[in-house]
Amino acid sequence: MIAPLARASVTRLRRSPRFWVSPLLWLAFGFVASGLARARGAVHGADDVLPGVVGAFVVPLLAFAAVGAVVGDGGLRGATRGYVAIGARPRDAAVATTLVAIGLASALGALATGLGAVLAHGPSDPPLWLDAPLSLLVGALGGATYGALFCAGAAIGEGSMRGMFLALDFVFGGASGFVGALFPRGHLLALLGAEPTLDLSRRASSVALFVLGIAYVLVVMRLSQRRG
Amino acid sequence: MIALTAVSARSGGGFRRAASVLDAATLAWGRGVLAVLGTTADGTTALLDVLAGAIAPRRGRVDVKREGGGLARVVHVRAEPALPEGMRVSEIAALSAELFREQGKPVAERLAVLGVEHLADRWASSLTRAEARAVQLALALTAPSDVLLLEEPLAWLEAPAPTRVVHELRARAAATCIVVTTSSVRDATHLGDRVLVLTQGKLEEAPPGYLHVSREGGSLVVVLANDASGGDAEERAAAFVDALEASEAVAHVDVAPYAHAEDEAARAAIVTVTGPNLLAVADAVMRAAASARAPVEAIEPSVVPLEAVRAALAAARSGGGR
Repeated sequence: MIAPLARASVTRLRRSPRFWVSPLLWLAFGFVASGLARARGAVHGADDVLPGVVGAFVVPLLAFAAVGAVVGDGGLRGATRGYVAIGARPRDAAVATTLVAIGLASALGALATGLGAVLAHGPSDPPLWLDAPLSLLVGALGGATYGALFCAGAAIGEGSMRGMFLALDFVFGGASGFVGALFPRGHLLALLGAEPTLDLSRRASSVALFVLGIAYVLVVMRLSQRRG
Repeated sequence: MIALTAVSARSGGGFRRAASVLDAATLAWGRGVLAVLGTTADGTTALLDVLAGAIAPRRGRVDVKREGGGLARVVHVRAEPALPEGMRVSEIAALSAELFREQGKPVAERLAVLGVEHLADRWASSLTRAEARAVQLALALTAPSDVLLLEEPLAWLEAPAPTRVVHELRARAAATCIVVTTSSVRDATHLGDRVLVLTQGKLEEAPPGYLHVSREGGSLVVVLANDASGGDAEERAAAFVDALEASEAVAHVDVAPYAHAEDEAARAAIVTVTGPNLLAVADAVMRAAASARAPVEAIEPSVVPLEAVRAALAAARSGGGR
């Protein structure tokens, strides 16, 4: 019974234009930063902007705004209360809402990195036909993982941990060591061209992002289903 | 269909908000309406949340199952109305039917149980609090759920919805496990086949003396004046109380001093008379007053406060109660 709940969540998003303001602003910020890199004539425009601005700030903040748009101010429990009142199981409602949030964060992340790679492309960057699709895929994976992370934060209490997780990712995500590896930041930046985190290969970082995303979703499921 | 075994749980709480706490609650209930008297601070919210699966018990075991096994289909309606945003009422009703995998009754028919079928085309966000609550309750009452959890089901509704909620709940009671929480003794006794009191997280059976207020029951407050013209006012008041206690229509009599107890001339007594049939109670009061020639100053309908029920429970625990 997750599909009808997910459809309802998408319907709500589609019919509420005000929820799009914040994600679109961050997306525009990413595009402007990418365009400025090309306008400056940077030879490694995409290599500079993607890890330095888009991956470091735009993708996490886009995902944060996307989860906020889907979940609202009352956290995941508040967002699903209306569905539970008409017969949805709490876990189904939470999973449906989380999947929609992850999908939105993933799409926006892909848009930010894919178009960012095109807009910032410099003469010494990898060929555009290769760089743009790869950046798009990395952005989609990073956005999805961030979306799952913030949904896990939204599932704790009344949702205030969503902001805390954003702050923790900024503080510890880029750090070397075990704690840093628990957040998406270091892995995403490594995939976008920054130094590898924990000396992991890029393939290992992409697997780590995927595994982290699954782990965050499991946290959401654990927190939203309290009995069998 | 529901069973709690020594369950402790905590719901809500945090900055400037009191938590709702359940403390080692044990309870089993099947078909019918179980009414739990208490406030959110006493743990009513935690009780419904733990039954709905919205919070985990800190200790103990929670079982919510269909008769014959399998996961029960639960509908949980909180006091604060919450409907899915960005949808019309008719779409919400269709989603509700889809969640239960059935076509079910037409939307208008479902909403008509509480007389709100005219709201079908309205956006959920445009509804007033009373309208949203009525829509939510109408959908809950007409959904084919196994377990129905309702917080303050008669509150914040506009007439005639409360009467219809009582009617619908009683109609469903034969086949559904229903738990209602309320801070109103009257609502609890109107609705419940069994009434429990939740005090600071502890569940207890309601004192029998207060179960008089069944669906047709009620209570009256009789104010007895201190008759300054004669010296036998106290005797007549005592005779009045004796006559009431002897009446089959009366289940419970409480006597308390009233007003200026230190002022002998102004001292009066307040007698609360309760019974399973309000009309019979009224008749018994009139007969007792006439036979005892009691100095009745006023007779008023009474609402039994939750505190009175708690006081009776406390008195019973300490061995001083009836």
